[in-house]
Amino acid sequence: MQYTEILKAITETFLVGKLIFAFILTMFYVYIKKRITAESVLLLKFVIIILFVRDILYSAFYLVSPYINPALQDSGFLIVISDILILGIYLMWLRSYTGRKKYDAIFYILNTLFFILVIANLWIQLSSQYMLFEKLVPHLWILSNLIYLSVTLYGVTVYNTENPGLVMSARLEIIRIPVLTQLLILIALVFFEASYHSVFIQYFCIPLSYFLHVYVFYKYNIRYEVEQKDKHDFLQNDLDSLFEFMRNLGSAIAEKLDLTQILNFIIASATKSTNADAGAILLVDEFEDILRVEAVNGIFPPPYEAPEQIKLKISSIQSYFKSIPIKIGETILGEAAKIGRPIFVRNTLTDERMKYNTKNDTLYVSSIIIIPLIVAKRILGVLSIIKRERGKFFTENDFDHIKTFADYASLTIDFIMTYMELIEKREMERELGIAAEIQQKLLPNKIPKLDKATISAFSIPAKGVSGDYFDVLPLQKDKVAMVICDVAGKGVPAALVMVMIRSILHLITSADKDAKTIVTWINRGITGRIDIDHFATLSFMIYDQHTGKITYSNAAHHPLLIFKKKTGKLESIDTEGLPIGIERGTKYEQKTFRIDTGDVAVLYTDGIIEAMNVNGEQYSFEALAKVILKNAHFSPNELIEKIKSDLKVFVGNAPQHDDQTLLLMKVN
Amino acid sequence: MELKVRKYSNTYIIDVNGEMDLYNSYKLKELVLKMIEKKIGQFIINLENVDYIDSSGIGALIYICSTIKKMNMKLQIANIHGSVKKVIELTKLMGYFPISNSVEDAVHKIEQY
Repeated sequence: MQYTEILKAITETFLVGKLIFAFILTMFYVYIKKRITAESVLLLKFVIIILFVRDILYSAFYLVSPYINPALQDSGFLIVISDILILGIYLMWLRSYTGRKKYDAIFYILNTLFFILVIANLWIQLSSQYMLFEKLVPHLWILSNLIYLSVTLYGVTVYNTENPGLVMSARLEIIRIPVLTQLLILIALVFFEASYHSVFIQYFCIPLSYFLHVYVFYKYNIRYEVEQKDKHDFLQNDLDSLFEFMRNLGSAIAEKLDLTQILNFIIASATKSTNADAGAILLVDEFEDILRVEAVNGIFPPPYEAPEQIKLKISSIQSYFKSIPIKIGETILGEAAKIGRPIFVRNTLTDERMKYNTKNDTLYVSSIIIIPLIVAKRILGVLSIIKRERGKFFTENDFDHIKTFADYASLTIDFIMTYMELIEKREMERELGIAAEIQQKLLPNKIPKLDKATISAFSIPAKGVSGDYFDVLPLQKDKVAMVICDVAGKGVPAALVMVMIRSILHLITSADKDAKTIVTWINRGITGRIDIDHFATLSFMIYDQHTGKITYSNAAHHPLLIFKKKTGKLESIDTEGLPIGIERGTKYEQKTFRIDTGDVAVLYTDGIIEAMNVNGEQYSFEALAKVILKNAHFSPNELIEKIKSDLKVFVGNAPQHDDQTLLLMKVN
Repeated sequence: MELKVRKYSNTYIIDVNGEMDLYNSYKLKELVLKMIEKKIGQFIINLENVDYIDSSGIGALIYICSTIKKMNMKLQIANIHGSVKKVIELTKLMGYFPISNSVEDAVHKIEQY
């Protein structure tokens, strides 16, 4: 008996329909769960769960109500409660876009109170057949909720919402369908005194409300496909513009390697490819924790407080921003450089850090992106782009694009800095080659022969490096001048100093001037005319064959060595005075002494005693002294050969790193 | 060669690390020039970690020293030792350079005068 009644209920009422609906809802749920990834839209899947649960509960209540309480049969409260829940979910979904939740709190509190009333109503109805309020009230309540929802929906604009497209395209239906459903239910309930399980409500009104959700998902699906295509196009554009950037950059570098110019090019490309209104690159200072504005494209107002008077003119804003360095950690630009992470302020109105740029004046900025330029964990600086038009904002796509772009830009900047250093070094080496040539031409090709003494010398320039100079000048009245000189700082400038010293020397050296006068004149002639970092040490002696005396003056070179045949000892002779080229007023001294037959005078440069072997040990003064003492009895040419070979044995295969020059004279 | 700058009250201490030779001495020169451009007027060049200097290095020091002297600014060169000291002695520049035994000593001298 019971069995047939249930069967009758299933066939005669909406139960079959309910099952079909439940099936459709399940399929729909499975479909969207697979398809939808956006978190905000995923919220809407709860709508389907609610609808599903509602249908199951409604059917269950309908079936069991005759045995428990007939009042349950017309379970309108389920429809009311679920409709309110669904509206709540739509509201939450909406708020996930706009983010303002103040008024929604009121909505949720009022609806919770209403829930309690609906349950109370049901409770009272079940126990006493008395109703707290008519069916009319709940539906009017839902309608008022719908009005609130529509106000919220139409409050959505491009200005306050990140991705308003879906909301804006679906909002009319989000309002229209539920309002229509509610009105139809109301009309049926009030004017035709229909019950909730009447065919009209169950097979027409309620399914009608389903269309809303299907419609929203349908709209989402369309947008999703458009977005996917956009994303694909964007990636393509992104790659295209980066490729274009790298290619143009290549030709810009080939044209002229100038960092400022390259930075200007980078920021111009960055601004163009993101449709920004202006952009700037700031680099971290070498030794202070500050950022300096290095390149600006367009009008870039400072994103910090600026004095009133500069706001009057665009050009003063520009120069103000360019001239004021920013401490790292201060202002939004300094913050990005400090934390080393990008900052994206879509709408400056919503960010406290941009409060100086929101007024309707020359400083106005609507949207800003700041990307730190990082290579190998080192922060080189920041790149920033801005929009200055009211209502125009950067999108997430722009943000993604400029991040990739900044990666390339940092690599480029780093590359240029390294490359410039390399070029500088290469240029220096080329210069050294030229200088070495000059030096070779300056050395005397023939050493003059004297009656009473023999002079011999050797000079081995180190590869590409040039700094040593020696000369022997025969003078009148049986005199001869000998000079050895080591110019500090290499390359062409050093070689030029050498040329200058040689010219002055040849010009002024004469038999009637003494050694200290000549050294003093050389110093006066050089000082102030050359870059101060090219100084020279110089030893100068004049040998008078007639008297057998040497007059010696030293400008901070290695002292003159004299081997005395009589004592068999080596003497070191030095005089006071700074190197050539440092101070114009330096006073030089001189010493005059006799030199006898068999005695040897030796002048040399650091290259000899600092010559290094493979173990990094230096030849040393002691070794030089030893080889001179041991071989002083040989002829000057043989002595030179002995010194050379001793040095060669010591150095072995180690490369020569400085010029080696030695000049000696032996009295016959 | 590596250069690091630290600040002690108004004095900038440049720590030089490595060899000062032909290929890098200009860096020290450029750094000091840049700092002078930025109105920095008190320097200490700390050579504690410099074990080798060639004539270009000496040249750079002379350049810096004479520039700073000309502009009436303050400079001390601290911690000269080993072969660096030998080279400076040989070139008779010990009296020319303002030399301090330690950074503390240099700070003291700069603050006093």
